[in-house]
Amino acid sequence: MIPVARWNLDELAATWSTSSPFPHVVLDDVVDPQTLATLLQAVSQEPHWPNRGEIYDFMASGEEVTHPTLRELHAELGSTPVLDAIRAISGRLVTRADLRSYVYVPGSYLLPHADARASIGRMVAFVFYLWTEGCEGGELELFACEMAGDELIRARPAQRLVPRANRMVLFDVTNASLHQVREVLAGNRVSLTGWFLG
Amino acid sequence: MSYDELRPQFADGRCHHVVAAGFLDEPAAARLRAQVSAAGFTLYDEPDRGHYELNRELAIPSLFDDLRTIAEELVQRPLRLERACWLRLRHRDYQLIKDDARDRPIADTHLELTLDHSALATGQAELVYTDGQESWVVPQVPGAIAIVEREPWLYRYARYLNLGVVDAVVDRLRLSLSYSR
Repeated sequence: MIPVARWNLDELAATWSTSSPFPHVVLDDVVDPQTLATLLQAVSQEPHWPNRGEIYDFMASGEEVTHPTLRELHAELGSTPVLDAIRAISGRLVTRADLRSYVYVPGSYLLPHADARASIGRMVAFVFYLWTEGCEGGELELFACEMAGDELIRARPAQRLVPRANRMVLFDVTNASLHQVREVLAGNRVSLTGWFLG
Repeated sequence: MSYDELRPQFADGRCHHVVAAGFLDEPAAARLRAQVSAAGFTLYDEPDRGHYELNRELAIPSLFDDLRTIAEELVQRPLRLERACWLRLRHRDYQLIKDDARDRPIADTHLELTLDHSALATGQAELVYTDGQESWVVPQVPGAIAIVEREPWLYRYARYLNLGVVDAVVDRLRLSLSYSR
């Protein structure tokens, strides 16, 4: 499904290492339209539940996706060609992938946080947008962080990445990769999201 | 509601807390809002901690004494006012545990009294107290007082206010009260 053989890995690696406020790349037209439609249909058939906590409010699938198409994608993300591509882009020694689907409706949000958890081994995060028609808000916002060791001292918004169907964002996971999903104000934002882990 | 009714509610469960409605009526709350607005607010904007407006300078001793007395009657122990903070939150505002952890005025067990002098109930704006596993939610009720015993293991966050609040403003006074030794 993910045509990594078409990706220009040298170019993506260069973009990754020079992007700010922290390493990331944005890929558009990731899959062909038929595959995008198939994935969207699979997500529409995947059970989602309200998830609400200190920093988030959205609908999410279970921790393990169940729809055969999504399980197939999950397996592909953990396959050698995809992992090799992610290693080539990021320089991180990823060995497997997590995948869940998310539906943001008006009022949904994910407040600023960093994904780094030493015990879990998240190295590269990804967001693959499947549906964003009529979506207002829902941007992935990246923050520039001033750090003292692992401690975040100060953060300021540095970049907003607009959600767009068939767009994938890959970004580095460290204590300094603070990011948020701004509140969705209208429409829906449907994505497949997860991490490549070490 | 009488103290005889409030005390068992407060003492019930692992997180000692109670919400008492009707401390302020709307005309009194409006006067208070005007007084605090005139004093002014400072924007707090640290993305990983919170986004809201606050004022730590304004003191209204008669109000603070009244509130402290209520808390003393509730716990039947003398209390000392350690800190007062006026807060104002709107759409897109929040206050996270990380902010509470850094800003906590008293490390030991103490009482936290929150007076809501907002004009409207937002249906959101809950204060959530948690030990990381279990949570206790204090709803936003204009004119009400919430009193929570802040054990060292108990942290607080103020839920993000999404578009559902429209133009509503949440006005709070938070007092930190220590047990006198």
